Amino acid sequence: MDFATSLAPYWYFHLPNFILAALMYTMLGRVLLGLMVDADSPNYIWRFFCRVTDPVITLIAIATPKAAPPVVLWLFGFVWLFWLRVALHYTLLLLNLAPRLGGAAS
Amino acid sequence: MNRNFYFIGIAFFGMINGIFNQLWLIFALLYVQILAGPLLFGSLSLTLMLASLMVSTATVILGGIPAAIYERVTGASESNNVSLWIWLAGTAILTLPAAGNFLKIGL
Repeated sequence: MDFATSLAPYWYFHLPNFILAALMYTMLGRVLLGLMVDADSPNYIWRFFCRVTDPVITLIAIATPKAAPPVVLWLFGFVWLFWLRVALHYTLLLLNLAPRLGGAAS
Repeated sequence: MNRNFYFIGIAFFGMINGIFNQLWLIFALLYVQILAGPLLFGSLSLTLMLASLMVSTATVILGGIPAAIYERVTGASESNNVSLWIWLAGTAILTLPAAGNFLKIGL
């Protein structure tokens, strides 16, 4: 089964995996862009990154000590989302519901 | 104690777990290859480094959860010595499985 044909039967894996991947890379984008722009910059890409990732950051901040500065929180967010994707695939794998290795999206 | 010493200790334990925890490193390596392989140009060295970084950071994150709970429960407005000690101890406990390899091999 190639990737294209695995999309429909495994939509319950691919859809959340895609959303988590998009969030994960947006978080990385926020870290990289944060090196160049101010926190209150009106840059529309920056504002988009902030708007998309802020809800995740709010959740992560609850489970992170307050000593962690914002940029560390963003990096933690990237790692959280990576492990969430791993957990999603591994859980489905244990339930024999996941696509095999070749079918996972990058 | 200066706060920086806590952070150095937390990062140190995270690094040790990321490098020497065989089980989690191999598990992470398998998934990094699938999830981020093409982004790393298919390079095994880069994949291994990212996998190690993921395990290290996960150790620091998980070690920080009890400290964050402590801060929320006590209503602290900032991290204090107690919460940083909890964070350090949590990270150290998570690093125990890798301590044997670290002591045997060393940096």
